[in-house]
Amino acid sequence: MASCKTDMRAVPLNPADYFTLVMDNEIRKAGLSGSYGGIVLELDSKPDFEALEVRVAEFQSRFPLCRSRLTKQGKRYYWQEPTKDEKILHLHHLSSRDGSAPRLKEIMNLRQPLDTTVPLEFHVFCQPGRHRFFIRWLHPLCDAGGAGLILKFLLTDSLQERQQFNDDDSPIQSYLDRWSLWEKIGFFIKGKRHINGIDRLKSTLPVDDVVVPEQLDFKVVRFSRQQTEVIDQLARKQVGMAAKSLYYIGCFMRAIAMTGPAVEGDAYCIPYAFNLRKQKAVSPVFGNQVSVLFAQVPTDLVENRNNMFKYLKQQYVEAVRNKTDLAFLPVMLAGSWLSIERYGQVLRNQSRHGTERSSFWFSDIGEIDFAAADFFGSVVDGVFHLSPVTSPPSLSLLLGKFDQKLVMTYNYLIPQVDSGWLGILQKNMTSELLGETR
Amino acid sequence: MKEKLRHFIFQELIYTANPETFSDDEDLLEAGLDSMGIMRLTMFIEETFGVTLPDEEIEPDNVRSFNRLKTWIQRHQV
Repeated sequence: MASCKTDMRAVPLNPADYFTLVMDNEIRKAGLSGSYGGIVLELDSKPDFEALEVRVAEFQSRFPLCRSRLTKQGKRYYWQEPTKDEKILHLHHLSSRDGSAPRLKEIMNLRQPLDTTVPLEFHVFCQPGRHRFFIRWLHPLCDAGGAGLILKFLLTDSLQERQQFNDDDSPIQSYLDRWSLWEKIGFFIKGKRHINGIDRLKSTLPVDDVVVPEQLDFKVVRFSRQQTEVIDQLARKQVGMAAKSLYYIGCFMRAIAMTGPAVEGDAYCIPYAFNLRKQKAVSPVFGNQVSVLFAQVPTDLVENRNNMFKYLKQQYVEAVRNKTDLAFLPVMLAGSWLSIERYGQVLRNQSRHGTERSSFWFSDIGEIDFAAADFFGSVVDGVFHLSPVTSPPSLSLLLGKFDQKLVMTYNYLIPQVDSGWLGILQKNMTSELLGETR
Repeated sequence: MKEKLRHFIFQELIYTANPETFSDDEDLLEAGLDSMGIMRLTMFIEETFGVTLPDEEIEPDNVRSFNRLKTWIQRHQV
């Protein structure tokens, strides 16, 4: 994404933003809300709302892009400067103890036209015994790393430190700029070949699309510190310290296989975003700064835990060694010149079968750390993430670690995914993670 | 060798306000070197220094600091 300035007029989307816009289009076409991301902070008390209001106002003034609108000019999309001030912070007083969960679902499932949607919203839920702070963003605006930076900005007390947050130096742009035209073409060919190779095997899908999806639901699963340590040790043993996400992905493939997927394919295939942001950097706040890697395992290999992890790791090492991790950038760049419908057909679906490539969506946010020990006077008890998903695969798994404890959110479309099936899947996944199966 | 490592790590993987004050013994994992970063760093080392680093040796003790990285690489240089 281009640099965000206070005098912004029309800011173009970067190639990875387009990738998320394609998914937004697919989600909307299925009659669902759109591609939003969500971070939820669980608080022990009501935060100082007035102080939060002041900080949010400062953020809005520094980054007007957060209240812009997505507009289409020809085939291209831009963030358009708003003509009036927008309220992006909302306070909800709820009378029931469980009031915030239904309200969260309501907001995540709210159907609004793309061109009138405010891309960033903050919500504070106050209810007896529980309080929550919720950030919802429209995915072309930023990735989860960017949303983490927005949260970090709100929680940074020093003005001098807050001034260091900006929107310059997009890593995705920097990669694309450093490559010559021929290097880009070389990477593009490599990326396309890689995808064509992946598409030789038809993907297994957890649900079929015979049932029409109605809305997104989610389930949060928290692990204790002791369980998290066990999982970390097993991950290190199976895939090494440099490929930890593969442990979660492999366990989830096996959990689905044990639970019984609706559409049996030749392989499990999981495209997962690989963030190009520098660790600890507070810039750029906006833009999706990601490339994509694929984890694919033939169905018969999933049956043997050790062999599956060996295969996944080897595939990953080869992908990084051959630089196919970066090859998806020129593919996304080329795709961003297509109409979003065509982009979906060419880059999102399996080229041979025209069906969904992803057996599920996956994201590992990693360690979640804040700039402050508290959230405007409230202690943060927990954090989890939310994400809508296309239909199919109708299922996504988001992971993060907070206070040295693993937290997972199952995001799924109902009634395609029924609660009984999900309950078994969750049980199988926990057993897999803790190494209780062979 | 350390200069090349420093350039790659601070250019591609970790942000630090003052890379020049980051000592060769300082903890890179604490500074934000994550699993994907370690993988990319390993591939960079293999390509740049012409060594093959065994997967089982990709562990905190070998990647924790610039000095540890140097020792690890030298052990595999002929």
